[in-house]
Amino acid sequence: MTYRHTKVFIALFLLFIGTFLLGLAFGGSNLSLSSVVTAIFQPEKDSIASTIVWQLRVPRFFLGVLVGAGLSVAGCVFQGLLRNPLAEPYTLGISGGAALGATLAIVFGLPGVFGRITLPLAAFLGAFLSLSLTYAVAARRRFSIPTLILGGVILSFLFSALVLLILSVADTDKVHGTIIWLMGDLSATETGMARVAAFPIVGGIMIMILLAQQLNILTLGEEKATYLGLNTESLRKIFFLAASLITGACVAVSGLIGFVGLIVPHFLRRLVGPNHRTLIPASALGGAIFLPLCDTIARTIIAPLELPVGVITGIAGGLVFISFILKTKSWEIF
Amino acid sequence: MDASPLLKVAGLVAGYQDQKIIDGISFSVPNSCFLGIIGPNGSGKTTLFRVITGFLKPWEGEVLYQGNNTSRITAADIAKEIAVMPQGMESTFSFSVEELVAMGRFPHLGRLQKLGKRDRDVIRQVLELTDTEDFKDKKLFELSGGERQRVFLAQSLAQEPKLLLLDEPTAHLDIGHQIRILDVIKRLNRTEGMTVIVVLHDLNLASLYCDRLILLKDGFIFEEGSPSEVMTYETIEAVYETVVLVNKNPVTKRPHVLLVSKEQQ
Repeated sequence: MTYRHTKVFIALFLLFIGTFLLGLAFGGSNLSLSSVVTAIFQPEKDSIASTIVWQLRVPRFFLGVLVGAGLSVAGCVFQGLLRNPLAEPYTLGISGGAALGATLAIVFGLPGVFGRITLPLAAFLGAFLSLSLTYAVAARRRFSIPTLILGGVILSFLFSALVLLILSVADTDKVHGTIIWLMGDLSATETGMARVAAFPIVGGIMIMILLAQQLNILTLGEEKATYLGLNTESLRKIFFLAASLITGACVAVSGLIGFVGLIVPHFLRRLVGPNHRTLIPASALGGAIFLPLCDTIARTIIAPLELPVGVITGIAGGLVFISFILKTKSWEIF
Repeated sequence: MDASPLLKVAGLVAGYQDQKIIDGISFSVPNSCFLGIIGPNGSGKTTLFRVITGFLKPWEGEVLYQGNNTSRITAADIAKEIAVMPQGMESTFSFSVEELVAMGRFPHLGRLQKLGKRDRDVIRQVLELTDTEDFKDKKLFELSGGERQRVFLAQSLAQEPKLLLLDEPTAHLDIGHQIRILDVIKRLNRTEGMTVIVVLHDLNLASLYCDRLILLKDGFIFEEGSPSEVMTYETIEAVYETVVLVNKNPVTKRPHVLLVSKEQQ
């Protein structure tokens, strides 16, 4: 950890606090900063404000933190593992399987039967199905990187085609619900679901932080990593499973929020460098700022209506990132 | 020199899929030896190299390091003793030179253990030794080919290996950088007794630096011995199917291969 890294982490932490206060203040009804602070520290003083803050906005903020950090770390790990700048949490087909699960649940009206747990469960089962298929394909070729990428991408296309097939014959109102889910959204999840999802997400992030140096060495290529004493095949397996588990849990509680897992790691790699020991924690923090911030915008920009947060992450993230690439002097993206 | 060899390979047969590349190779490498593996393209140099390093499993035969079969030692334990620099090393990410060299300390660190004082000392020494300390904070892509190769040599040396294996460490380098790389290795071979096995394309470099040479042809050992034993014009012409003259380098007294084009024969 150098002086420069310390500065970046302090800046990120301050940004996080700022995002937290913004997220609690803005929404369907705007609260002043002082009433937010009062609601946090003396909730009995203003019961309406403290209900909004504690019942609605705090849980939603922390859901954003959880999913943002999870997707960013998963993206960071997939980029390192696959040594590919285009890799992101959904590269290996998790999104396709989750989308198929959720679409089937919506189209067959299962939420009406099983309640609010249906969508997260169906999405997670779908994610698990695609994960297992990619795993089965990759295991036949010693988890080689080309097999992982090709297997994942092809399964992803296959699942997308199935989703489109289902949507093309489904009722219009159900199509709308599915599309909202596909765009990614933090509004529909119960606090209880978020708590369950926190275990795989936080656990997965911890594993990644512990194995950061191994990931650094894997980026030198399979041959050199072996010569430095790593069991590359089992490590790739661990990284693939842990990153997929994080992604599956994120998708289950929030749908397919795009872009976070692609750009947050790139952005932070430019700030702290490619060493995963600092990059993984920095990406977690970066995602924990970026997604709640986008969600605050999604909740306020056309209030009282809400936009799916995936729309904002795509537009805001894309614009920021393109200007970032145009401004930077050196040509390499990694 | 110890009586028992540091490395011994016996009856190696290996290849890829159903294509046999090397067929029945046996030799042994004494301690502190500087051994060169030479031979034409496709003669099995890199395949033999990969079998010795354990990256490729042999179909038959075994590799013994200090009398132990390397297939029964874990990669982590091997990496504490043997460093390997494969062909065409690169880094996808823009790590700094110092970070890359520090990765060479990985085999000596416990899980989660950070670099200690001794590790930092070793890193500083190898940066000095390979003349890379001036750009230790630069990124790899900012360096020339010769400088990059010295960085990866420093990374391997940071492992403090008893045995160093290199696959064409001087490929694509100009003569100045070729000599600089091999001089560093030769120095450690002389002063620390580090054993070296190097695959080389350039016969004159091999003659200049190696104590012993193994000449491969079509997957078996065609000739083995000191440079002056192996590098005779009859042997070289037979293996490379090219007309050559073999002279003596007036300074080093080692054999020197001169080429003759078809028109001038």
